[in-house]
Amino acid sequence: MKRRFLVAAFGAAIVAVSVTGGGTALAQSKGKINPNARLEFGMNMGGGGFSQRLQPDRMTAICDSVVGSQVFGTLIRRDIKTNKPVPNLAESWDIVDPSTFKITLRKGLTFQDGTPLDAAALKRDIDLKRVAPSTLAPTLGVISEVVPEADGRTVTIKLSQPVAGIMPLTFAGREGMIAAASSTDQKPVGAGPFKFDSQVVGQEIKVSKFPNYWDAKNVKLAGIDYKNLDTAQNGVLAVVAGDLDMVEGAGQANAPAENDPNTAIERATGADYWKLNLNTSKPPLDNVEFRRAMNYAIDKKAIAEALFPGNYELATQSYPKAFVDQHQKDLAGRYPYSVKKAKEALAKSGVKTPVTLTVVPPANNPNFSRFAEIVQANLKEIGVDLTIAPSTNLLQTFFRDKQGDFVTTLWPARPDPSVTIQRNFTPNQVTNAGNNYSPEIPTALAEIQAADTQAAARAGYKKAINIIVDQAYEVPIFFPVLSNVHQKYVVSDDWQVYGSCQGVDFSKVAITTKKK
Amino acid sequence: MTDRHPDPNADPFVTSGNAGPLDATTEVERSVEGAWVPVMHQSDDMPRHVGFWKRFRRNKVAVAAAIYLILLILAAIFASHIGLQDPNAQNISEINRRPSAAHWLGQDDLGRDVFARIIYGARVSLQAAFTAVAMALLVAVPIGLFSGFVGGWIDLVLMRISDAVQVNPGLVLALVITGILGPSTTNVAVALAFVFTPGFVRLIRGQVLSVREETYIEASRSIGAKRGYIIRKRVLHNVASPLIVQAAVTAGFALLAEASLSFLGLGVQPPQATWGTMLSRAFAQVFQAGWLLWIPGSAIALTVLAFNLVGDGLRDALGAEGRN
Amino acid sequence: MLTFILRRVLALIPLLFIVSVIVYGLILIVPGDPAITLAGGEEATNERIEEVQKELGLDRPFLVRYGEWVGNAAQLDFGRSLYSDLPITEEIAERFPKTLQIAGGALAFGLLVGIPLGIISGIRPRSVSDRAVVFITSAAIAIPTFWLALILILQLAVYRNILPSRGFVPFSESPAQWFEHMILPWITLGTLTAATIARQLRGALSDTMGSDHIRTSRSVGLPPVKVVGKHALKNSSAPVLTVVGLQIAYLLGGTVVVEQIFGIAGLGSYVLTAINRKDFPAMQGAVMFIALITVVVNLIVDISYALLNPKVRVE
Repeated sequence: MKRRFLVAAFGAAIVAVSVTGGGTALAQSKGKINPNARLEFGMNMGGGGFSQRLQPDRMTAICDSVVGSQVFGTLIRRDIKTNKPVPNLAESWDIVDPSTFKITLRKGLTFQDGTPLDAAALKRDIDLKRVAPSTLAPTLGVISEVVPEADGRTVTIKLSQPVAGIMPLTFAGREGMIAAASSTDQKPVGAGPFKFDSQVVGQEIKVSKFPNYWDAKNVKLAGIDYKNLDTAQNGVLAVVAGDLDMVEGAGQANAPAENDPNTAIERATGADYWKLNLNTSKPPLDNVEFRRAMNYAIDKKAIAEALFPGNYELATQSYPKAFVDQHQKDLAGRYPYSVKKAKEALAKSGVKTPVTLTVVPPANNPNFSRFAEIVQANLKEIGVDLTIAPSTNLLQTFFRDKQGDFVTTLWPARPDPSVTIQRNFTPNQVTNAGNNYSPEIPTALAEIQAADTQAAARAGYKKAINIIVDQAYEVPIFFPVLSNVHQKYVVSDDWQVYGSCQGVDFSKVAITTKKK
Repeated sequence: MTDRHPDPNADPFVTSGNAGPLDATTEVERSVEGAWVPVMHQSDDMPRHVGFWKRFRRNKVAVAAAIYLILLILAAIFASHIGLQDPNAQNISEINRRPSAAHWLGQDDLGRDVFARIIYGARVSLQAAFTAVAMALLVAVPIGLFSGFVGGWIDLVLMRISDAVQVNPGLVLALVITGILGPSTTNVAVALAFVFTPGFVRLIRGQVLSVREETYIEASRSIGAKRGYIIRKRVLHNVASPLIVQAAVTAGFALLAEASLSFLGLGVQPPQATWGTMLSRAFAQVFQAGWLLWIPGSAIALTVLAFNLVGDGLRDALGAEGRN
Repeated sequence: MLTFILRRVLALIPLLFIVSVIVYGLILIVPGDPAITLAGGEEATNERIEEVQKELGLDRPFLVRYGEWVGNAAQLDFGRSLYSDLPITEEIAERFPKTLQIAGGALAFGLLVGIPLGIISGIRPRSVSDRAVVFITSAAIAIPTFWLALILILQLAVYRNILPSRGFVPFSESPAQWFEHMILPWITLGTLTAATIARQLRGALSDTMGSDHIRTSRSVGLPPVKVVGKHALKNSSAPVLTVVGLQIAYLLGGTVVVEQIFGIAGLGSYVLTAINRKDFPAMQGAVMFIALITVVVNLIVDISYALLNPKVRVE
């Protein structure tokens, strides 16, 4: 057994760290940090979640950003503990009016190829990203013009719609990753904390600390080796076996690490949520009473317990309690788990039972299988027979070909929370199978998007969430606790756990001399 | 170098020395998981006139394996009549429980009775395996007979096609097919049938060729017997024995292949329990419930072994009888 | 000999042609296509999906696409991956060596373990040692590969930290670490090969041990070890060689499972990734390449067989 020492790191606020034995705070152990250590991070590079296209305007998969955010950095960063935008490559920003957004870069930024990251470079990059074939055109298509200002590091972004309110957090995502002119899919060049070194496609990506990063003095890792893994389970096993430094955790798969003396788990809440995404155009799901019956009939707690034992917050709507501007407290008790109420709603709906529905879970994933099987058992109680028909390509089968009645799915929240409403409940979105939601939702969304502060957006969220919950457009199940499993010699005094294939903020992580 | 004579009743799995390996390749069983090389459990010290049953009974191991398989098949068929618990009844408050008096093999990740699921799982697993073999036979028998009898360029083309299927590793081919058709019980059976077919075609054709060369066929032809009659009476009789043996062994492979496909996420999909899906689910939570891994795993291993041993026994018994 | 080889090589051309038809034809039955994913997945718009479909040329007739593809494939150009946008031939070239190392090592393991077991059991059929070997090999063949792998990982890497649980280190970087990382994949994949070889050798040996030739050698007083070493093994080499040829396809197929479990980016995981992503050009290229390798290895086995047995050449 490889002997390892215990160094516990204490995160703040909602981050809970499992500590075995007495630990020392990072402040004391900082002297022992090894500046030459590289972090070995395991992630799935083979599945559909990772596209290999390491260029912001070409990425197609969620997990691409786990590398992209380190190489390119983002203009703005979302602090996961407050959900507020904080400066990153951009020093400041301003919502001038609902259709105008202004962003100012830090002084003296350079890309990893030595060229400056100034207003002109920013304009070049955004102009590339906002039009097809850029995969970001759907979100940045609202930009009509990017005007560099005289100071050389400020740009004014003119919008064709009044959506400036969502721009700060939008630029905290892939939209905010800025590439140099020389950057390519295979050799990305950005101005982020880590410089791309090399990759073996599907196996390994190596990045090293970029010495001219604006905050380089606070970057403690010499580099990151991203290593391919097949499943979360195997990743956690590899950390426990001492073969990897860190992986993203996933509910049940974390079990081997729970009691391992050398391993720690960081946790954080996010707005990712497991839910039933319904095709509300298909009978009987076009019937609001039937949808309410489903909301009553599903035992959310049973599902959460089976998938993320002890590590979840039950969902009553699209946002968790921690999202104070979005979460509507008064709606929390709207659909308690009750077979009786479900049967009453069903009777009101006039739908004759037994009725047969089809659920389309993603194939190959034990968690979605469990999820669908519990839903099947729940619905049987109210006389609904559920056929389970898994698919390897949900987007195609359910959302485009409109097969099946609903899907068991995980919605990974984007940095800006309003995207959840936009993508799921407004017309003509790919992830909106029913396409027949109340027209008041886009109106409420417009209010959110035009707001210049988060508080100003509140009224919009209140309207939208009330309609969604009242109309039972979805069946929200639970918000999983996001987790990261790592060796105890990996430390940080500000764990930023992004979760859902986004990793952590690696620029805030260090490795102590305890690593062999 | 010893030269072994191509004997129509000889072991169909072992190369005959006269053919080049590439041709020999085709005589040897190829499957998704590999080749089963049978073992002679008894030599010909028994008088030749002894019948099939007497010969088969002599092989105690094969008999035990056969009894196991028969019991398993009966249990699978009558699963709903033998007082098992509902295999799909969930009990979320009792997940991953160890074996107990109420649940002989424990409870799974949704609190379901593992023993009931193993028996019901046998139904789907065996059904998938048998369907695959039956479909392969359904296609292979006519093609093999036709190819062997007609000969000439048609035979040549058919054999090149079956070679072309066989040069692909079985698992890769099955993966590609299920990947394209979409994962389901039927598609897994179709994919495996596709992989197994050329082996059966080769086997049947080989038997037809060797029988055809034998003089008695020539003789019956000269007295004007009809072709159909010849096929029925002689060829099928000679083809049947090795075919039954290979079918038994192939069914074992189909079980293994189904498990591999399920593990790679392209097998039979939930909620249908097969041993393969149960094993890959157990794999996903080996730390919470380690013993769950052993149950479907051993079920697969035991059953595959039983199929192989029965295949051995049949081969010994049928092979010897066929020489009469 | 040269004409023999030439004839064999020429015979491969129609074979590979039929393989290409099968491999390419399979995508005819595809429901759905990768366009939606390439258009941005959840970020895609309906207009963009239609554009991507046009870009992929999926609106052109099948035969035209096949003709183009097979023409390029004949020059080992399989086009570009829909995902990485890299030439597939390059990706295969990068990954194949790893697969070759896994499969080659597994074959070596199979021979190293299988031959001694085969000899032990073959020279004294129905002895205790023979029965033991038969039992062990029977069990080895019946075990699902991935189950064996998981048990090995748990026992040797997780519970006891003896071997690495996953990963790959190039030989050029550190031979010792390369070896350490390869042991579990080799054992996982090679166990079935070892069992198959042992059983084949056992069968051939017990046949030859009973032959007149060997009986004569023994009756003239040659010591048993010499008889086995000199005559019996020589006579048994041909069937073993054939099994080795056959095992190549199994080993290459088995790497799909092994590479998946051990997180090695070889050709097997490439195929699986391509299937999961519906990256058809990559899938077709890789399957075609694997078929090509199988055919070439069988050709080599064929030729060495002919060298051993001159009779084959005249056939």
